[in-house]
Amino acid sequence: MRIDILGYILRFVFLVALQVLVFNHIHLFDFVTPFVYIVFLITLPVEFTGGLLLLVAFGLGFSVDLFTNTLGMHASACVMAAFVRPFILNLTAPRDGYEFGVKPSIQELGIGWFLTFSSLLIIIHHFTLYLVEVLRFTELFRVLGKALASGVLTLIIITVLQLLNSKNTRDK
Amino acid sequence: MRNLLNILWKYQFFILFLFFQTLSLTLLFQYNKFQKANLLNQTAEISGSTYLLLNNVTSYLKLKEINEQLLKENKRLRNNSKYHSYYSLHPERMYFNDSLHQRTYNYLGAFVINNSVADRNNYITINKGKQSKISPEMGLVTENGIVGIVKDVSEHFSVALSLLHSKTKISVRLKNSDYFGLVTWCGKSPEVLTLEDIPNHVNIQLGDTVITSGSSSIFPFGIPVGLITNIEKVEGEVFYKIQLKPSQDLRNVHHCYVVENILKTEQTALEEKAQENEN
Repeated sequence: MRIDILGYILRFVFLVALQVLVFNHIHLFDFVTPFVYIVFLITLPVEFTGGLLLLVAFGLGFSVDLFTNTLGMHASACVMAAFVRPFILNLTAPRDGYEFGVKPSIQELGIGWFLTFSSLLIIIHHFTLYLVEVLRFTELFRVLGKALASGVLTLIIITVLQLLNSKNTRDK
Repeated sequence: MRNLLNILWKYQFFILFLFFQTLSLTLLFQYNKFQKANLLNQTAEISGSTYLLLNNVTSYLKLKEINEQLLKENKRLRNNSKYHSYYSLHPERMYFNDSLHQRTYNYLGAFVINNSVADRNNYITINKGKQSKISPEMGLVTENGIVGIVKDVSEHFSVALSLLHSKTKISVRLKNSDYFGLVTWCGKSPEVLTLEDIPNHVNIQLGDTVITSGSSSIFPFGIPVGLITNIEKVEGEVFYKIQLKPSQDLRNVHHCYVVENILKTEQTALEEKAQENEN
């Protein structure tokens, strides 16, 4: 399996920039913000796991944190998402397992699978993020509401991006 | 020993997870706890210049709105100017050499280059920093009301706690009575602030203005904070539950003034001395 390292680095920078410059400024109804950069964690290769996965996730969250004055908040949520990622992959695995080298994307594993996998990962990420933000359980319902609302928006944007992306690659 | 290593190897993923999670949360707490978070002071320069780049583009779209705001403020200032009064005091004829007339507050204009309202803790980045002699704990105001307090300063940028931050507490009073209170934000909506500590025998009405009390040495006296939109009398409680609408819509801040209290060091030194003497 050849991992396109340069491609992933460019993706990383592009997604962080997109998040910081565009999506962080979207506040639908004052409280719904999509955290689209999580798509980087979603689309990493299935075999990519272990300490490196956690390190990459930490780096991803930390880069976003630098721009939002919330040192550690996004990092914590991303590390949590990276930690549960292998378990969710197992949970949503196709009947005969993943083919070697397969990438979690719509064109390779189908839209149904992609939506299930992404929504699980997104909700865990968003919930951790908002929980760490308030750091108390008294606002639990508001945290849940925000996580759900923002999660739905994130999922929609990620799916659209994926569809656009897959159309591009097919044209080539 | 080998067993121990085996176990560590077996659970390395979980152990590393704990490590990174602890690291993240430590960073979070450290930054919350101390005013001078050194790491962010340095990175503010990077994030600040990125936001400045974005702001250079987007500010053109808001020029009309900003011009209108400035025009409105100019009009108000012109109308208040003492040179327009019927009997004007000419500085060359009358001269006060009295410390009572010395200026206490210095205002410095700045542009807001990044602002959030949707998080639980919101921050405002402005395009002035150490080079413009800005230091932490200076106030940010607009012509409509207060918006935040400076927290971290780098060479060219400053980051301020927005009024919409769980750590922001503003000492205020009612405009038409002498009662003092404390304004905080409960995180529900950028339209709703909470006013505490107003005893429930005070006569207040919807639409009353709440202004800064001037007791904090950050903000001068009399700057608008908000309007009362909801009053609730709780059975068995001494204080009202009051909701405010911020005078300055925090979703719509393009420029602001940094308030420097010139006599602040003198005031705080005196206050510290008084406290020491008590101990």
